[in-house]
Amino acid sequence: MRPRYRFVVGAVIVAAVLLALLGSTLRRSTVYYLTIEELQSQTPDVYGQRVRVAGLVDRGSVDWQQGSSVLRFSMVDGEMSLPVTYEGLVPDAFAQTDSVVVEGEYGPDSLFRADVLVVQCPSKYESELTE
Amino acid sequence: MSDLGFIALALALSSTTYSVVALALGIRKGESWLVTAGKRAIYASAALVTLAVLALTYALLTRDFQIVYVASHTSRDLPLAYTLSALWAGQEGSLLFWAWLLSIYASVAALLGRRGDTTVQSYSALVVACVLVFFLGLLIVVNNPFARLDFVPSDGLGMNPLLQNPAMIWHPPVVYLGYVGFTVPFAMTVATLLGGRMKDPYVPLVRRWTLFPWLCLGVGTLLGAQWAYVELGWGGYWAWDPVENASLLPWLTATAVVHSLMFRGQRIKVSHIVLMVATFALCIFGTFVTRSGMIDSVHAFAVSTIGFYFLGFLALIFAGSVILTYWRRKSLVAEGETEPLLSRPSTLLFTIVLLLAGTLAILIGTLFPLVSQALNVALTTDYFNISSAAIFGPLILLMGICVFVPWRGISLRGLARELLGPIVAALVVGAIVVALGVRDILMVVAFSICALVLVATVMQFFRGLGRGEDTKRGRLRSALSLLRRQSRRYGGYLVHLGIVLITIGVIGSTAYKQEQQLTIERGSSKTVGQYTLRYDDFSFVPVAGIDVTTATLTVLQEGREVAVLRPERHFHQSSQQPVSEVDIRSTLVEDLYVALIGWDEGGRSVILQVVVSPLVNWIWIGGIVLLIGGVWALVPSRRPEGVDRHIEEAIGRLRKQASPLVQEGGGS
Repeated sequence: MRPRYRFVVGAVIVAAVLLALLGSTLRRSTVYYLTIEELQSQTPDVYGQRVRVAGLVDRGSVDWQQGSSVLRFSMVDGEMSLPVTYEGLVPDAFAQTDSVVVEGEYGPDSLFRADVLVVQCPSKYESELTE
Repeated sequence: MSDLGFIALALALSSTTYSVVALALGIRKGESWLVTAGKRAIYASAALVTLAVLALTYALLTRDFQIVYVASHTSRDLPLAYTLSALWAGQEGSLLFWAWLLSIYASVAALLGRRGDTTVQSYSALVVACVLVFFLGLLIVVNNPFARLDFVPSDGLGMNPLLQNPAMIWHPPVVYLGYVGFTVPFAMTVATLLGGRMKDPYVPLVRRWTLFPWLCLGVGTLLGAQWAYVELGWGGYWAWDPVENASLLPWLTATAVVHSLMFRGQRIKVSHIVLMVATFALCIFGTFVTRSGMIDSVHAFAVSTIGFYFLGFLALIFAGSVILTYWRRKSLVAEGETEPLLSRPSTLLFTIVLLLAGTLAILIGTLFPLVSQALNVALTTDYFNISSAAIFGPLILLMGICVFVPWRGISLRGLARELLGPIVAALVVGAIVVALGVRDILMVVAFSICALVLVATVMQFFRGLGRGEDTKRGRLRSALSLLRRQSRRYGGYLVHLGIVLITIGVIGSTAYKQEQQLTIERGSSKTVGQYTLRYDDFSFVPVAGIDVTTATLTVLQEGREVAVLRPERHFHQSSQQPVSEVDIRSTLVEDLYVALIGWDEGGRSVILQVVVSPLVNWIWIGGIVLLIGGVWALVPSRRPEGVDRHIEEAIGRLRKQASPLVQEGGGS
């Protein structure tokens, strides 16, 4: 083979391997991402599946003692609401966040058991000014 | 004062617009007085934007709460340093800071470029001025930092306590110095195309202007990681958050630019253009992601006005660059000269390809949330961890091999002989790691690769020192003078060394991190890994609007007291926000990281987040080595540009003539 072809073949192989890796990684590292409405309409299929759900925190529903590792709250999205229990380290920024993403499993008791809780990055929030 | 600031901004916009027109007309008509006037207008803009920055700083310091920006980001009890850093805490302020840095970069570039090639320098001043017009326009039309309320609040909202960390003072400016700085080499690239001077030396023109922002962005990203580590209380430093990725992405492509500038030849190539445009576009994208919140809240996409402007600007950059490159396609240097596989050009090419693959993989992951609601699928951080290990692993290995591969190529056997030492080191380290109890084959390979690269790079320094031996001057002095003469080469090796140390830290702290939530009664102890934590004391002290709760813990290792840790939890009453002040026992082997997350009444027991993070310190040490290497490479060599390379090429030619066999061996 002449060097030029060799080079092209090499580049194609490298590209193919990278693409294959990318594809398999994409397949292996995904979870379902649903709205509350989609989650509740897909029962019972969704029971026991690992799911990520985004929504707003209903501040009035937050049941958490400073320092406790179990956090209970309701997540809302429009008309829909979803009770969540989260076990783990509650991020400091939770106190000031409206929008959160939880990851975990939904059960037949209509409770979402989350072990991942993601809140917005603090560089973005700015509260409202009042007189 | 706020009026003064806004007027200064408006005048800066006019003078920059004037400079765009004057430069464009001056270049087109060949009127040098217009070009000079255009450049002077850039200096004037820099002075005016500086005035606007001073006006906003003054308003921040005097707590002029009628200005929305001041009221939203400061309060009466905010300490002085954080009051000053409020300049870049919000969107309007950051944009003003961007514009300010850009106007200073533009002035320095115009000043240093006076004696250079006037055509390219004038065109590049024109491009920078256009970018500056965009930012000043945004500040005046959409995001006026001097906007006022129709009432004066008694106090401001203050700064988010999580931002009140010393890192807030230096992390954002350093990152911005990087982001903004790429405008200049990008402008020089576009200028070379616009001016049609493709035969002129391009590489020496942009090299230093690329290296400086590259260094700032790299160091700034690490500072951000360190901030996350000490502030967020979860014991990690990197979460593949869109805002973190936003600074990593242009750094990766800029690393590719730095390597592409090492190719033989000083004229501009298509690869330079592609990489430079990608870097600049990713910088704009990064500013956009950081400031617009597009990716965190999918629904706000293109609804927030500022996002819309940035998208338009991005589209303009891409379209303009593609059209320009197509227009000049005939005069660009033909690429695709074939080189033997085991030669420096090939290793450089592989480096660039791997860097771009990494950029692409991370970019896909970063943008994925945009489609994940539509697809009902989201990515986990596994995606980033797996793909970056798969791409950057080989890249690190390549770093160890490439230093032994000369420009003219080397035979496989020759390379194997050169690599003997590093390979032995890799095997020894592999055996040690296995003996230490590591059973995961991937981890053994990873640590072995790091050892190989480490030894290979250090060997280069000893070779350099050895070469200085036979001169009349002292050995050390001649060695130092060699390091100084070839500052780019040895600076580069130092950067490689820094990257390997960072890699070691990342591998150790990712794969062998232990985290645990512990509840300890006062007076009793619990064990994590090889440490025993004894909870001794508890205190609760309200100071100046902050409730400070402290737990005192004694750390025992094999029965001996090794440290006393005092993790604190601060509750800011004004913002109702708790913040962890973690305490860390840091050694070169591992960090013991303790955050206080809760307690019961009177502190009879405390709940702690305890993280044992092996080797994590090497990330920061590697960062310092990288900084030193980068600064070293920026030091001007005493020899004129290109001389080293000519000598190396001449030596290569002589070698080739002397032993044709070596060359054949490399080609088969």
